[in-house]
Formats: sequence, C-alpha cells, structure tokens
Amino acid sequence: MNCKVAVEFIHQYLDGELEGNQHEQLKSHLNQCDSCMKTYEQYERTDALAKYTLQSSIVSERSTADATKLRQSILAQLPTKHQTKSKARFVRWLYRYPGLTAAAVFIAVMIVSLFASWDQDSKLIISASQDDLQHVVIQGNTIIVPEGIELTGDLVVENGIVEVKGAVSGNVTVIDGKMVLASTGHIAGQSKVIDQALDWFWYKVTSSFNEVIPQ
Amino acid sequence: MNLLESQLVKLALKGDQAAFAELVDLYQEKLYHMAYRMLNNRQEAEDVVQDTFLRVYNNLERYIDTMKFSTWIYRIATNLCIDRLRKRKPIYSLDAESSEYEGLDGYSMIPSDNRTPESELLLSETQRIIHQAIDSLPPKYKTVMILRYIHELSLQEVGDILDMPVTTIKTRVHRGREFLRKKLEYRL
Ligand SMILES: [Zn+2]
Repeated sequence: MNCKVAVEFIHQYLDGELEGNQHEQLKSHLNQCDSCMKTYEQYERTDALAKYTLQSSIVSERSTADATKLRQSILAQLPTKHQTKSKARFVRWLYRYPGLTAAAVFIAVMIVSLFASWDQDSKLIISASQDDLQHVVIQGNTIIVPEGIELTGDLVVENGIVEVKGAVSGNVTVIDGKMVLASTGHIAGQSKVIDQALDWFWYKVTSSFNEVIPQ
Repeated sequence: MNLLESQLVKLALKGDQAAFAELVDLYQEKLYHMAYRMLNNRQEAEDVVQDTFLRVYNNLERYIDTMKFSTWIYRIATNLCIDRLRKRKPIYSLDAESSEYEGLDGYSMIPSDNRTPESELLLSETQRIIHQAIDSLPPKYKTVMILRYIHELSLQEVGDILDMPVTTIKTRVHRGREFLRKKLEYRL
C-alpha cells in the first residue's frame, strides 16, 4: 500500500466506512510508516476536538427558558387548521417506556383508562405491547393490523374500530367499538366486543386482577 | 423509519396540534444547535428554527413517508441556513477577528474547576481556532462539517439531507478534515 491510499483509508476509517480486510492493510502500513501514523493521529485528534468544540459550547449557553420561549413562538405562529382531539399524548406515553413489558403496559393502561373512561368517553385508547404497537396502523379512529403482520401479544382498543388483516397471537378486545376481521386476518386468542358499561367495568376489574396476580 | 415520528406527522396532518408540538419538542433544539453553528447568531438561528417548523406545518401533506422525517426537517433547516449565508457579504477570510459574531465566545464555557489555567487557555485557544476555521469555510463545506460533527450523522444521512451523492459528501468531509488539521497542526 502506498501512502496516498493509506491516507484515503485513514479518512474512511474515521468515517466508519472501512471494510474488514482494509482495516488490516491500513494497520500494517501504519506500523511501518511513521508519516502516515502521524497523519492518522492528527486526524483523529482533529475530529475529537471538532466534535468536542461544536457539541459542548452551545448547550451551556442555552437556557431552558430560551428553549421554552422559542417553542411558544413556533406554536403561536402556526395558522389555525381544523383541529382534532389529541391522541398524541397517549402514543408518546407508550413510547416513553420502552423497557416495560407488555403486561406492565397493559396494567398501567387499564388503570389509567378505568379512571379516565367515565368522563372522557370518546377518546381512542389502544393498549398493546411496545413491539406490537409499532406494527399497527392508526387511521382516524381505526386501528389496523396490516396483512403480513403478526402481533405477539394482546390488543385492546376503546372507542375505535379494529381491522384485523394480519394475525394476532393474543386476545383482541374492543370496548365501545367495532371489530372487522378480514379474510386474511387471524386471531389465535379470544376476541371480544364489549359495549355495555357494566360488562366493561367487570371486564376491567377482572382483567386487571388477572394481570396483577401472576398465575 | 421512525414509526413514532411518522405517526405524529399523520396525526398533525389531521389537525392534531399536540402531535405537532411533539415534533417541535423532538427537533427544536437539535435544529437550533445546527442553525446556531451555521449562522453564529442566536436571533438568526431562532428565526430559522421558527421558519422551519412553519414550513413543515404548511407542507405536511407533501411529506413522503419513504424519507425519514429527520432528513426532511434537516433539509428544510439547512436550506434556510445556506440561503441566509449566501445573502451575507462573503467574509470567509481566515483571520477575521469578527466582533459582530457572538458564536466565538463558546470556548469560555468550559468548566474551570478541574482545569489548570494553562490547559484551559490552550483548550479555549484551540476551540477558537476551530470555530474560526469552520466559519471561514464556504457554506457547502460548512454544512457538511456541522452536520457531521454536531449530530454525528452518517455520510449517507448527510447526503440525503443535502440531496447529494455520498461520494460528494465523503470528499467534503475529507477535505474539511484536512483543512481543520492544517489549522490546528502545531497543537495536535
Ligand atoms: Zn505512509
């Protein structure tokens, strides 16, 4: 390897783009060539210093108050469109705790919705594991399990329509909504549609207990 | 593809303001940092961020799911920065001790407790050189260096944002690195 190629390899290495055997070739050249070794060290330090400089100095200058103020001006300038009820908070809530197991998410959602459901009766609520949630498609108040997708856990939807085109290994429960099972769809567990308030209440109480007490 | 972001875009498109606010929370400060480094001016950086989100909001229908949301929003923001830089008088002289730029004061923020005065001075001087060197780069190099060094984006991502082939980005990163090395040489 000549020095010109070696310098090119050094750049690629620092870009994270060097292939496995090129790595070995570069290494053996650097061990023999002091000049390229020096270039390598200098480039490495250049990168480190540039990253440090560009990343660190802004954070300390910027106060949370500045950020809050900017956020407010951004949102205030938006032209008003037709507004819908927000589902974002719930989606984010589920994403924020990726470490939770499906069961834990399930319980938490049950508890939250048990308290929330009597006064906010039209809010779309979906409860599923983190992994499963990534695969469902939300269109308005319709939750679609797309064809070719298999959900591994349970799916519970309140105030919405569930369209199962793919497969669900667990149970599917729809509370105050509708379930549509497409010809391609398959639910391995139980599927239930609950409409009556009392059924709903008992369903929640018993399912929460089932989840809380390990069997 | 980040599913959370594409869900939020879909909700925002339907008029869900809270979903849009989530997107603001996810990107506002990242974009600010990028814009501040590009423009070296707080007010201009904030204007760019604000303008970026307005454009995102007004063009949500045109967002194509095949592109990462981050790529799209960075593309809008970098274009706004580049436009602003081009409208300025070119001041890419390497030793311009420009007092109108607030950005060069960043080096004074290094925690001083565990540094000796000498090492602090050396580091702050080095940082000053880096800031000046990057400021003296033409916009097309500056953008690449900033996206690479601030957010450590991959060459592919930088290429997607700037809508340029990866080979071009690669060349610019290499030249930029060599340029910085020369500026810093006796300190390395
Ligand atoms: Zn060599």
